[in-house]
Amino acid sequence: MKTILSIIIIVVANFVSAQSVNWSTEKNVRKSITYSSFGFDHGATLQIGHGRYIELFKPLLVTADFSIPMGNDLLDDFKTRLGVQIPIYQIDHFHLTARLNAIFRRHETKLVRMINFGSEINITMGYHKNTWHIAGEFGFDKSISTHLKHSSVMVENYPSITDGWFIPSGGHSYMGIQSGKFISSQIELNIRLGITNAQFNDENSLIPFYTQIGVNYTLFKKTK
Amino acid sequence: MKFKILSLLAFTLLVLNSCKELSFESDGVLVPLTVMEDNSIPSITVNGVKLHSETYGDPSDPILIAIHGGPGADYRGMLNFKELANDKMYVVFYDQRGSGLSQRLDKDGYSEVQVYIDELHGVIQHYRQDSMQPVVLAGHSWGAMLATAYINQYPNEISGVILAEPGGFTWPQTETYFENSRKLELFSELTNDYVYQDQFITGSDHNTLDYKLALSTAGDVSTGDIGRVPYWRYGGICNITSIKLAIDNPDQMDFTENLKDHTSKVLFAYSEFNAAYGRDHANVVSSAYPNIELVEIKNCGHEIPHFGWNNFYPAIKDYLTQIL
Repeated sequence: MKTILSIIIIVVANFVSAQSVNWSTEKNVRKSITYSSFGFDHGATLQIGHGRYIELFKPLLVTADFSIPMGNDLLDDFKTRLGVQIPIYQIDHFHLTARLNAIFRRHETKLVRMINFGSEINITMGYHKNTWHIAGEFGFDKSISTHLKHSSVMVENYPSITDGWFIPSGGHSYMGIQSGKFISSQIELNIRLGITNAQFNDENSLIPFYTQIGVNYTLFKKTK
Repeated sequence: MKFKILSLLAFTLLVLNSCKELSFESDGVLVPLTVMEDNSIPSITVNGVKLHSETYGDPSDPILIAIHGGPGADYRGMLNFKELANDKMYVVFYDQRGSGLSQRLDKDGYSEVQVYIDELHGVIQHYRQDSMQPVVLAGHSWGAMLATAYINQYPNEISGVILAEPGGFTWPQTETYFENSRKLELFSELTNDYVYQDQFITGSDHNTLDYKLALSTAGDVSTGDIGRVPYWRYGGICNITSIKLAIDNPDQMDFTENLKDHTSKVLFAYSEFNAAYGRDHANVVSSAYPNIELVEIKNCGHEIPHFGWNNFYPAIKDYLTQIL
């Protein structure tokens, strides 16, 4: 049952997002956004992503991104996210937005290979002008299910060690601020930083904070 | 089209749901059972805590107690010491509380260094047949620090002590060693292997945190050793709490006050390949003892009792001949 619920959550949330986006009043003429960032998020990570603005019941930003931590083996660890960012409420320049992500991530060391499905929900509230914004954010990154495949080193130490899908795996809430400023008509620089906290009474991460410096490149629709 | 998508989704759910779900918290799945869950594991009870413990040799011979590192490691990497049973020593191994296959405790169980000293005292009392039976302590890394903390409290109780690369006998010495041996470089594979796993697994229970601590050793942080030292089970909560204790209470980490009263010779070993240690650090740390025999163990790094045994053993045998 837990597996089914997990998969449903993943499927429902099967869209990703740019981390820091300006939802100013001109959003309806935006076409797409390509973004890149570098920072610390459970490791020094490099992220690239792309998003498209679409009009459904509301203007949505549908995104996909990919990040890798630094190191000699660049593709042994990575995180991909698919998601959607939805404006929920607006009063003048104040915007409340929600972001829902589905996450797939991988991590491999000499001891274990982990494959993980997760999901993330984020609420951002901030002040958005046409060329800059500042906002506070709160989110929760849930590690829903993790598959472990142990190396011979681990098996030698403990022959009965078990490979397989492990549920539940854990999760972190996070809280921080983000800000961005357009330096040209299409290029926006942005920054995010905050702290993380493990779910329930779990032990916190070794380095319980995140920070990110990024660049967004926005394409606009031609208007008459 | 919609039917195809729904069919694919249903099939995916069916396949994934057929996979057996495991739990990090379950006993014996990712880490071995302890003495609390498996009565077949040899154990003793000291100060109300059940400890995994084994002995080799004649109980009436001089006792040698092997004290493992960590806090949170175990004695599996020190098992070479059992060879000393052939040299008329009664060799005693024990996993400290919260480590190896010994009983797990809540954080309060590791609230001060004194609990480890009292535990070692209890182990000695458990195996010592009378007050005339000589006792030798053999400690590695944190275990060598603990042996010294014990001698600092009981300077005349112990006939001899063998120390292999204790980080330090004061917090500044230990901090220096940590800084030299565990440099976290932001862009290195080692650093990211160390922290990336935190987004996959979180936990507060012993099974999960012991497993996570084992995974955090993927980067081989012990400098100078080519292979990996064997272990049974790390103690996650023991390790986290004890290191936090040391950082928050550096005054508890001064084990040097009474060492001048321990006039028996001490065998102090450092490794050839652990660049973070070396003769300079060995000189600084060992200087608290008045009577030191300093030896470099060739062809190994920090894990001297495991990888350096062939060169360590002759020095130990010679030392025991001198003091007993």
